[in-house]
Amino acid sequence: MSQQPEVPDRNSNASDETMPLLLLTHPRPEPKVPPSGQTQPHPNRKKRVTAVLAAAILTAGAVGGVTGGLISANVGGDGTASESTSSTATANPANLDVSAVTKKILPSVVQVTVTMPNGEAVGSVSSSARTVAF
Amino acid sequence: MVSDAAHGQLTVTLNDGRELDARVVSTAPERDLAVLQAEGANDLRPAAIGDSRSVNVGDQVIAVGSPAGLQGTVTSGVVSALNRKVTVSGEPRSPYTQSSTGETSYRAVQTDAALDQGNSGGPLFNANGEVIGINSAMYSPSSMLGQSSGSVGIGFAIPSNDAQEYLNTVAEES
Repeated sequence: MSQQPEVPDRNSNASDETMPLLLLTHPRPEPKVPPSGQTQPHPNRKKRVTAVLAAAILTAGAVGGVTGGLISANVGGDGTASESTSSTATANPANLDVSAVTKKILPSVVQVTVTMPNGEAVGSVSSSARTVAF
Repeated sequence: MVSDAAHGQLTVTLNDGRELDARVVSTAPERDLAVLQAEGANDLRPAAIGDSRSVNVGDQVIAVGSPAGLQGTVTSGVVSALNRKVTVSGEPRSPYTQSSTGETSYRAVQTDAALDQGNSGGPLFNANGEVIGINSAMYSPSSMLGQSSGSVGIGFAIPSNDAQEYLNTVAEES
């Protein structure tokens, strides 16, 4: 079920290098999440620690960026921050109310499970009247 | 998953937890799309379909899916690129594959909204809550080693206009 295709990226501005892609079908049953406060041995603990460290480094970098912006604003000397200090592009600017949009869209999204003799696959679809497409 | 759908038993779990049996109405492996019908569903809330041609790079988007089987997971990001050609092989079980090489190709919307296995077929919404894409694949640097590294911020969605065109075709035929 979980294919591991190679996808050539042939964007007009890109080279024809091969790019490993995964289809987004989930082949495993829902993972058991331990109750909060309860620890559970994890086979990839080393990898998880690495991931946490990477996140911490990224967070530190973000804080550094904000701090740099504030310093630049103060260097101006007139007590006001220039617009350029707050123009850093982010993936989720404040003007997108994700919570409000989510409230609107979630009831229209369903999960599809395909059960076969050799396992299950899980995906999600958006409903359209009585039909759903995926 | 399209090829799986043609061979397996389908269960649709609604957002409120109800589970319904479903059947395949149509499949289009060459588009990586299928149309299902949930049996006994009478109060579904249809999603609004947006115009994927009006999408711009940098537009904010929200993805909903079941990564790792976790239904109703919401992630957000931006449109990273448009018209990205994605060619996927690996639907070997499908008897419907039309390409002699078993490949499926389409021009995708690229996004940095986190997508992972289980997001397949999930909608990609614009800031107005309209579906502008159907999530389908992600870049995975380690997939060639037989492992998935999870989202690295490069995901792909089939444009909603392609899906709408397919839905119109199915509606005309039925």
